[in-house]
Parts: sequence; C-alpha cells; structure tokens
Amino acid sequence: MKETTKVALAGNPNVGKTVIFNELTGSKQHVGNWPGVTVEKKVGNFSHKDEEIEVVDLPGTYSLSPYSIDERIARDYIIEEKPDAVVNIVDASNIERNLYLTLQLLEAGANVVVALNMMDEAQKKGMKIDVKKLSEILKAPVIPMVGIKGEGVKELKNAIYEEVKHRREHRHMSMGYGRELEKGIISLEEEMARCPALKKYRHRWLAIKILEGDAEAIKKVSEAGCDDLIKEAKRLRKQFGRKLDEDMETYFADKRYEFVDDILGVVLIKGKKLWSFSDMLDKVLTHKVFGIPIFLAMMWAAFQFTFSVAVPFMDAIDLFFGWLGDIARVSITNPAIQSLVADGIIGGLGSVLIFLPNIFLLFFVLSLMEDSGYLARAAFVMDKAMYRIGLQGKSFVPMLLGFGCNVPAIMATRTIEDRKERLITILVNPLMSCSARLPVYILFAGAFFIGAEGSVIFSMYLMGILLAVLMALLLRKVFFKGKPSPLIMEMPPYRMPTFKSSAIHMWEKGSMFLKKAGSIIFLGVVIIWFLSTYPGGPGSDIETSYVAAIGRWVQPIFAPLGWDWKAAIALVFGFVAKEIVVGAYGTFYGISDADEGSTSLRSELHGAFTPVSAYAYMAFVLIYVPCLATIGVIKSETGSWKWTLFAVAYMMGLAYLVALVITVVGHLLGFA
Amino acid sequence: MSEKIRLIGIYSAIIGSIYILYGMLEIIAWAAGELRFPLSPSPDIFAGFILVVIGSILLYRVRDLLSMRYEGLSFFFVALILSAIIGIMYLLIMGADLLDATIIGEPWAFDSAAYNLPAIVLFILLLPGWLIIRKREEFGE
Amino acid sequence: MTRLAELKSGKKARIVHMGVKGPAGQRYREMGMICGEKVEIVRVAPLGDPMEIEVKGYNLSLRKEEAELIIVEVMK
Repeated sequence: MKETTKVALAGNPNVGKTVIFNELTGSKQHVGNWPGVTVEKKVGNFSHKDEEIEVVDLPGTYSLSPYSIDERIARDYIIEEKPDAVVNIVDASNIERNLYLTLQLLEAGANVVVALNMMDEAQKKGMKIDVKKLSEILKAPVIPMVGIKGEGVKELKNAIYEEVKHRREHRHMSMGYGRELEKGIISLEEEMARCPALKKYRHRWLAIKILEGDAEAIKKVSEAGCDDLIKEAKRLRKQFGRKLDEDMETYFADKRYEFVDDILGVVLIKGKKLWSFSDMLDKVLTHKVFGIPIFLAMMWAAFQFTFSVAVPFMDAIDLFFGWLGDIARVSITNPAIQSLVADGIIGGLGSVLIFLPNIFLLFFVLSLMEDSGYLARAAFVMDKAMYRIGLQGKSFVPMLLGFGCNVPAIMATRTIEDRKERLITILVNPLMSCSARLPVYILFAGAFFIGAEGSVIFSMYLMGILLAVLMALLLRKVFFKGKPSPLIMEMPPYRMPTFKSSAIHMWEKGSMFLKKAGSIIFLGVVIIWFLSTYPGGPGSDIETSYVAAIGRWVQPIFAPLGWDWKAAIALVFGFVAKEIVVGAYGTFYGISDADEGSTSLRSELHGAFTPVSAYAYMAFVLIYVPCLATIGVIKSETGSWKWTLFAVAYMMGLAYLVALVITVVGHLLGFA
Repeated sequence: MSEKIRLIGIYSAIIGSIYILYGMLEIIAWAAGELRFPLSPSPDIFAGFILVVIGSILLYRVRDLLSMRYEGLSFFFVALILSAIIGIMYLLIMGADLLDATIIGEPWAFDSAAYNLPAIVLFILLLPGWLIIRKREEFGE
Repeated sequence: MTRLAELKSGKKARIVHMGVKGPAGQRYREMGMICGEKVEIVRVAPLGDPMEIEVKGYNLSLRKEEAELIIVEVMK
C-alpha cells in the first residue's frame, strides 16, 4: 500500500486560505487539534484523476521564523512532516509582503505551488502581474485565482496533481545573500554533511536559519549533537555582524525584501493608489468620535442576535429531551434504571446540547465579523483600554460576550494569539455575569431590596466587571509577569463575508464543543444526578441525599456568612448551572413551579436570610464557578487541568472572600 | 452626478433626524419608567443609544453632501450598513419569537416594544440608499 | 530625526532606524518595517493608541510604545 499523498496549505493570514481549503475539499473535511496545543487542525481530502490527496490547512503565518504557537505549528509541519507539496496562497493585491513567505518556503526546500489569490482585487487596484514570468523566476507553478468565486480551483488541482506526480527535487529558485555570506553558508553546509541526524532538513535552509540565530533551528542542531556547527555559526555571526554593522537577522530580512523588489520590478506593474471603499468605511468605523459607539452598537447587535434568536432552538431542544425523558419514564419500569436514563443520561445530554444554538449563532456572527475585517478594527479601537489591564484589544470581545454566556465567550478567545493574554482572558471571563445568574439576582433582590431591585442587580454586574479588572491585573503581576506582547496587527481590507464560510465555521465550532467540552459536562451532570438521588434512591426526599449531606457538611464554612444548610445545598446545585439555584429553593420549601418572581418563595426566604446575608449570597453566586459547562470549556480551551482547577479554586476563594467582606462591612455599618 | 449627491444629503438629513428623535424618545421613555410615546418607541436605553448613533452618523457630514463633496458619502454608507444590521437583527428576533411561539404552542402577537418598530421602519426607508452603494464605482475618484 | 510615534496622520516618512529588539523586532522587519522603507501614518485610534500605518502596500497597526523606538525621517 502506498502512503497517502499529503499537501499543506500555507499562507499569510487574511489571504482567503480557508475559502480555498473549502473549495478544494468540499465537505470532506474534519477538524481536530494539533497534538498538545489548542490550535485547530483542519484536514480534508479530494481526489483528482488517479490520485487521492490529503490537504492540511496550516494556521496563517507571516514567516517561517515563528512568532506565535500557530506559526510554529505551520513551520514544524512544513519542515518536519515534509508534505509532498505546499500550496502557498498569496494575496495578489498584497503581493509584496506575501512573497516574503514564498521565498522562505522555497528556501526551506518545499515543493511550492503558488496560488495567486484575489486577482480581482489586484485588478481593481490597477495592478498587473505577469503570472508566467513570476512562475519562471520562482521556478514553481503559479496559478491565478479568485477563491470566493471558485475561479482557478480546477487549475490549482491540476497543478497540485502535476507537482506530486512528477516531482523534481531541488529545481527551485535559490537566492543569494552576497558573496561573503554565501561562503559562510557553504562552509556550514559542508560541516552539516558530517551530521547524519540533520539529513532530513535542507542544509542550505538550516545553515541560513542558524546564521539568523533562530532559536529553534539551533535547538534542532544541538539535539542532533552537532555543537561544532553552532560554534561555527556563532563565530560567523559575530564576524559578519561586525563587517556589516547590523544584526544578521536584519540583514537577511533586508536581503529577502530586496529580492522581492527585484522580482516585482520584472513582473508587476503597480497601479495608481485609489481611494478605496475600504478607506471610506475605515474613516467612519475607526472615527475619533464614532469609532467606539459604533463598536458598542455592533457588539450589542451581535449579542441580541445570538441570545434572542437562539431561544426557539433552545426551547425545542428542551422540549425534545423532556419528551424523551417522559418516554423513558413510561417504558422503563425499574425505578433505579428509569431515573438513571431519564434524569441522568437524557438530562445530561440535554444540558450539553442546550448550549449548541448559542454557540452556533455566536460563531456565525463572529465569523462574519472576522471575515469582513471588522474584528481587527474592534481590537484597534479597544486596544488602549485593555492594554491598561495587561490585556490587548482582542480580549474585549470575549469579555463582553461573557454577559450572555461564558461558554461561547471562552471559546471566542481563540482569536488571541498570545498565550498569556489568552489565559488571563479565559480565567477572568467567568466573572462577567452571564444571563443564567440573573434569575438568582431577581429572586433575592425582589425579596430583600424592594424598590431598589434595579440598582442592586446592576451593582452585581458592576462588581463582576471590577473584579475581572482586578483579577486580570493580579494575574499579570503574579503568574504572567511582563507586559502584553507588542501589537503587530495587520488591518486587512474590508471584504464581503460569505454565508458558506461562516456556516462552515459555525459548524466546526459546534462540533468542537460537543467533542471537547461535551463529555466533561455530561459526566458532571450524571455525577450530580447520582449525588442528589442516592443513597435513598429515586423518589426519596432530597434532604436525605448525598448532596444534602455535602451541604450540611460544608455549612459550618458558611456559618460566618449567616447561611443555613439549604443555602449551601443550593450552591452545590448551582455548580451544575446557576438557574438550578432558584429551582432548588422551590424544592426545599415545597413550592411547585417556583420561579424568580414567586412571592411565596420570597417570603419563605425572609426566614433564612437578612438583607446583608442575602446580598453576600448574591455576590457569592456571581463569583463562584459559573457552571459545569464553563469548567468543561476552560479545560478544553486551556488544554490543562492545572489551569482549570486553578480557575475553580480561585473563584471559590474569591467568592468566599467577597461574601465575607460584605458580611463584615454590612454588620459594621449597622445593617442586620 | 453632483446633483445626486445633494439629494443624498437631503435624504440623509431627514432620515437622520428621525433616527435621533426616536432614539431620544426611547431613552427618555426608559429613564422615565412608565412614560409612553405615540408610535411606540420602546423604552430601551441601548436601542435608543444606537438609533442616536446612526442618526448622528447620517447628520455628521450632511454639510459636505449638500455642498456636493464626496467625503460625506463614507458616513452615509456606514449609516446604511448599521441601519441594516440593526433592522435585520430585529426582524430576525421577530422571526425567532414567532418560531418559539409555534414550538411552545402559545399565541404570538407583534410586540412593538420588543421589536423596535422605528428601527425596522427606518431601515426600510433607507433601503433605496443601497442602490447608490451598488453603483459605488461611479464614486471612485 | 523624528520618532514614528510623534507623527500625525497623513504624514509620510522613511524608516532610518528600527530600535525594536528581540523577536518582536524580527517580526516587524518581516512585516516590511525595514530601513529605508516608506511608511504613511493612516490614523490613530480613538483613544490615542495604537496607530495604523501603511507599509509595503498594506496597513499595519502598532502601539506607540514600539513606534517610539522607530526613528524616521519625515518626507515632504
């Protein structure tokens, strides 16, 4: 059996890579993670003539000197896995910077097929590119394309096919770095020949990389046990650095761009600069006065859309699982199995799937914002405010979305490249008060703060924001020392997003949630079902269950706050989902159909809480773990149990601390 | 061509003023609690704020348009896009509620407060503006 | 000699010295911010930071903190 033919898609961000990936593979694709990290790996395949070709969509990358995790993955794949061909997608309207990566790919010895995408935009800009000549210079096929219209896809498939079928090694263009430096490169190459462990890499590329001082390349060489090589490279670096009076890495970057200039001098006729539609939009969307209000309006609309349009679908899921549960209750007679199936398993599945409508819609909207280019503007507009608390512009959108639901909000942090900034954003996100916590506030504010409900509830939201800011600052100080990484963000031109790619994106995120976080949530719900049903068995009084035992057991901890064991149990239930807190109280006081507006429930609460302890309770509900689903998604997004447990622990501790402060200060001020 | 720009100026001045008026009314209705206005602006401070923003963008460069300068068109275009986003959003929410009522089996009625009628009507009134965007090539300098 | 951060929007300049060090400096260079390159200030964000510039025919945004380290000569 022959090995599968592998082709990688590489290119700068915002060049329409995903669109071309979708065009090539159609629906035959699946999404996973790259091993060890939470960066998406998309693989698909297509067959052309007699060849079955597997396509890997690499994360967008500007250069083969990695700057982020995404970029390291892209580079490692090209260098280590050595795909049979690398399709380098180049934005023709931005060819100057895009060719920088092309040159590096050629240098690394990849079998490059250049897909010159967005030819229509280049044409609009008045640019004329001599495709044939470019192909001659690069000694690689160049296929002009308009990805979103599907133009050039057939030709690209042909070119890939030809490339993998009739591969000719080492025929690609090679660029020189000046006679002096070339001597150094050649001497390193000769030295390298004595290192069999480095045989799989193209020697010239590796020599250039260690001359550039690339940390990972140096690591590769030293792992291969060729320390002489590193010493020699160091000596050469010093020698040339003195001679050229600049860093080697600067020299190489300059040379490559010089080379790009030379190529473009032959193949490109530049257009006259036009006042583009993109410029017109930007003038208003990042306007001094209107920029921020427009951003807030956009976010508000995204928010309303996501959480209002999801309602019928969530209700349908709810009804469906309710119906399924009823069927199980009717058809299974053994009470233990009946409860396990109806309440445990079906209930657990329901509580996972109920999040899907929100996740689908949110990622549909986010994908529209990203593909249209607006997300970069949003980050641009909000960057300064977020930088003050040790984050960056892209952290703002997930924080805002947290007010709706923390689960998709945490998933939305994937747009943040820097790992530290992303972790901080994930860790403080649960402090944004999600919509499920509102019923608890309404119940307690309605019972204890009549006439001031609005202000009391608003103070909860404010407290959440304040704590998030403080925690972000604290996390920066203690765990993630240093400043946010410098901002180096491309502002792509505005483009019309397509329904197709947003829909695919939405589908991927949804299935990712099901696969990754779904199992954790499901397991959690089944465990809680067990604890609240046994040892008494189904139908027994909840006060005899393990949950009640846990509640009584932890109650002394809450005694200083003035809460009884019922309050403690409700908090245990609230671990699953906040809306259950209200229902749990209904069960305790034997009030059927209790909701947050129920007056009988409110009067019962007067026996258990004082205004101070009620306010402290509300604060506790705000801060301690939002729900099992959030924990599940923190695990799947950080990829680490350590940070997940840390998140749970810090939120519990903070919740207790804040509640205690409220109680103490409340008593000192003379409130009961 | 330039005459057309003056027309766009007048058009955006009128619609912009209505946007601001209704946005203000919604904010006042929200702040005053029980107060209600005719033609049902919903008491919603956020929605009101957004209507005011759209209106201000429409009015901001009206002077440019009236004196037939192209720069003002940027503001007109962005207002069009925002108006469409907000209008379509309310229509979608309305559709979702209708669907929800069918699923739960409850009767559904048009609730002008929840669906922000002014935002929908103004979006429709601005629709002719899209014809201008479609011919945007004409505006390239 | 001026710092890039001091320029108002609409100004054009040529990079004379790239003072940003380390991996970020390397990345700026790879994004086209090399000595002798022409840049144009497109705009500054509503809150006064970051700024957006045009370089190599595309738009890039960076914070003033880094722009302080980039020395340019203003072009007419």
